[in-house]
Amino acid sequence: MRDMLASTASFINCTGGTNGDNPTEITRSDVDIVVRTLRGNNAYSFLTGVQGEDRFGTAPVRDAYFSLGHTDLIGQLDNVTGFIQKWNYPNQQDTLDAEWGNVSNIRFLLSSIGSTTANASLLGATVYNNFVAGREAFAAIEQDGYSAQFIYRPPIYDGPLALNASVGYKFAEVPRIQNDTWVFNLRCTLA
Amino acid sequence: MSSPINAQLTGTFTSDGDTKNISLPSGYTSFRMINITDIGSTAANTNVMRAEGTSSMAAGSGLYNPKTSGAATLALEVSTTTGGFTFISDSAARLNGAAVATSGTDINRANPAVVSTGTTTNLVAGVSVVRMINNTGMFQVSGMDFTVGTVIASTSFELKYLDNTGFAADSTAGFYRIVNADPRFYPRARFITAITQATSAVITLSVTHGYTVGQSVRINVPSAFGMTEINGLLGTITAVTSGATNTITVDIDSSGFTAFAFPTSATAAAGVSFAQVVPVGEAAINSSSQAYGNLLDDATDNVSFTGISIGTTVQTTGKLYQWFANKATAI
Repeated sequence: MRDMLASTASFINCTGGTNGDNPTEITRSDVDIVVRTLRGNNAYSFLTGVQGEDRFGTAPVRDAYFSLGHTDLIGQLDNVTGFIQKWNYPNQQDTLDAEWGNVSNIRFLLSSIGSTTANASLLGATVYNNFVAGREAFAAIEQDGYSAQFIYRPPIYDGPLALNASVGYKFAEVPRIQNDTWVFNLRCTLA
Repeated sequence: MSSPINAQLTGTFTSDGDTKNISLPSGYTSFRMINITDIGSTAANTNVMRAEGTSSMAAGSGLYNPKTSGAATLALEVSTTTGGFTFISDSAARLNGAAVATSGTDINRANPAVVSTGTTTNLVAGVSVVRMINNTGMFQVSGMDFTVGTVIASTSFELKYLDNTGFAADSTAGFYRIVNADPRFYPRARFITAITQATSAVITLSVTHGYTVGQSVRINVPSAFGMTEINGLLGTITAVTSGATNTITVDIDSSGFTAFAFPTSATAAAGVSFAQVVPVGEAAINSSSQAYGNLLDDATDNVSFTGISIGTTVQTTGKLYQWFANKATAI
């Protein structure tokens, strides 16, 4: 899914930063552009907001789109105006393990295998791809009801001397952007 | 005690003169091929008769025997570091080439644009893709990918589908890198280098596009690129060209639109997004025999592969080659 979005999703370069590159580091104005674009295209948000509670240091969280990005953005996101760290949500019930925090109407999910494009900025730096998506913007469509299979062949079936086993998986599905105006690749570099 | 297991795969292909990719399971370590067409030939040529490579060789290397001209014997074996064999574990994860400095008039203003450089190693006309980096005076193209046109060894190469005659100045410094990996899924988003003002807009793309007639595409043109009226419009491809030109024609009337033009270098340096064509997918055609088109006809398709890439030095156009791939493991 990650590579499909990297191959085909429309992208928006971050331009609000000051690192002198193109794209720049991520800033609040870049986040606002994506949110405005998704809202303008009537994309549904993934999650309802998190209501404020009377707890010290917390803040309510808006209904939100998801952004799928790379863990290298930790620290970068913390510097974005209006960033709310996950731990500062009023409650932790609706948070995800991969979630890092929220800016405006986007909740950022980060992974060490998030998408990057090497040497792709104006200055030749690594570009980080943040896929900001509304609900049902993309999907994995299974073919003919065929679902993923995990396959294990014990040694007795896998070689004449029964020395090796085989493990693998197979699946027949196609990743698919269902509405291309509901998902954008917000590209940025590091500060 | 371990027992060696040897596995061999074989197949054939007819060379079309371009780099040939052959899918193989992972772990193959040696590859050789034989020219079947010219067995016994005494013709006056030096066609490649036999070639081999191993995974331990540097990418693009290989050994090969040309035919002795006018005799049915093999000439002495030749070693090469370019145009040979490249073992690929994941075609979409291949690393970019090293940054190479441009020189002189680094990128001139021409149609097509010409990049001057003393290093053109591994650039193949019509095949290689380069990414331009930090091009002083021409930041409009920095970060963009281009298919390479004519290559003059150790002197220059063309950015085949870029007409930059309208730019304000030549580039005076910068770099390029060879981009070895295309995105994993087809069809792919591509950068736009030109759009005509016509009843059916003709869009030139910077890298060989691979699109087909009937596909739907979204046209994204940021305001810095002029033709803002076309931004966000959805079009169906009605014609495509490839080779000398690299265009798609879409059913969008752009005749009354503002002209498409790259931003200035200074504007680009301050930050812009690129103009791009984004594939939306459906090329489904509804007809009486197929009332409901298959909406997955042009769904994104994983076209990456594991295997070997056979360069142009170790094959001869039009010849049938039988190949053998081997791997050995100990259990």
